[in-house]
Amino acid sequence: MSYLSGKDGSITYNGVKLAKVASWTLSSQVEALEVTSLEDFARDYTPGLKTASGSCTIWMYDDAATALLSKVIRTDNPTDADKLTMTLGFGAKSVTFTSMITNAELAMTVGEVMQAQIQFSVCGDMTSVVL
Amino acid sequence: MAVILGNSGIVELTRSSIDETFTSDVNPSDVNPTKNSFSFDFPLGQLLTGDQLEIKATDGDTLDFITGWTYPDGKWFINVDPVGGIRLYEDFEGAVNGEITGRVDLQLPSRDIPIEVKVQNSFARCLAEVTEFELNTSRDAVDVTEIGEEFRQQFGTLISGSGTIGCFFEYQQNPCGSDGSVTPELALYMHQLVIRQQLGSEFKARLYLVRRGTGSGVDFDDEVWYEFNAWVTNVAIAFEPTQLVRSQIQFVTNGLIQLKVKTASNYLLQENDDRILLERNQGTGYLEVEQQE
Repeated sequence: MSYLSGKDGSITYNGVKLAKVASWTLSSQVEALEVTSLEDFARDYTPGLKTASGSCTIWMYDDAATALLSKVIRTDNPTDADKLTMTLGFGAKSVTFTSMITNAELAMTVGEVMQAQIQFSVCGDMTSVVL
Repeated sequence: MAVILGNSGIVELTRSSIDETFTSDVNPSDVNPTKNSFSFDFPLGQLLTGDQLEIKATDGDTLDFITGWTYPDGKWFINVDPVGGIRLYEDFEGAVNGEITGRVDLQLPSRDIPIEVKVQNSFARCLAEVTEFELNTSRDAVDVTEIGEEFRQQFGTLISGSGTIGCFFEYQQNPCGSDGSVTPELALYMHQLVIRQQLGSEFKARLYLVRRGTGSGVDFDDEVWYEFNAWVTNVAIAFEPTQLVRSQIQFVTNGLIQLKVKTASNYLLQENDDRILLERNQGTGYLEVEQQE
């Protein structure tokens, strides 16, 4: 057993490992639908839909971020073909899902290295979860 | 190998106000031809005795409050008295000493003259009685480590500098410099600079690590110095019984920092590419060269 840190992380999309990734995050939620009834003494819930979304930061180094940026920053219209199979890895574990890039942000700042900020939403259920 | 000692360093300052200007008017009532002084509306303390002012008439007409001056602009050194009266001089030494001799003659102007004033010095002077100086240059390093890596990776970005100058506090010029050298800047100027609000506290500095004619084992003509523009950010002074009063000046550099090295050859090159060692039997000799046609 060992602790995990940034050196154990990775992002793979469509089978290709993404280079120059500085960070990633994943946030998953389950809706809580309230089913509290009269005479109950505590609120009660039943599970609703699952949602998940996340983000990653990529150093702008050669074409490291191009594949993800081009899903949003583009001249033509996005289609279902733009959905990605994405795997967020941490050590020997990983979460795999189909995702859609929803936000791509570029920023250039004096004294800082340029980064691309990517946000994505998970489409449908997770494909594989090893926690 | 030469050993460089601390006594080879000097600090050379050039007064500056970047491109900040004042605009005002010189009215006939502002000029006192008897005392050759004049004034205009400026915050007290912004113009300092010894500054070289570039005064320009913004209406394009002549600066006719200066006797015999037929141009719309000109540069003079100034002496500012405690109530804001300004006297013009052709040289720095006269201005800092406030002497009557050398004072530019003024006359009553025939109109209200709109003027633009800029501190525009081009002469470098040594800062007097410096006991120490320090310059730190640093380059920002941005962490560009990516996930999956085991060692940090850094990327160098901006370069910045800061430092301190320590000197004995002095406020009065000695009009009879024993060594005949150029009148130096005094610590008082740095104290005035840091509280100069509207024109800023910028100065141009050269910090000499090796200067001409010093250092055993160093060629006579060698010079090594840092050159940069800087802002005075902090000036401190403390009084203690039995201790000499010192000024501590802190600054941050502004823009380019240059480390210049001048190693003039001490050899004479012959036509056949051989070299002859140029020897001197005294430190301050010079060569006289006559060009043949």
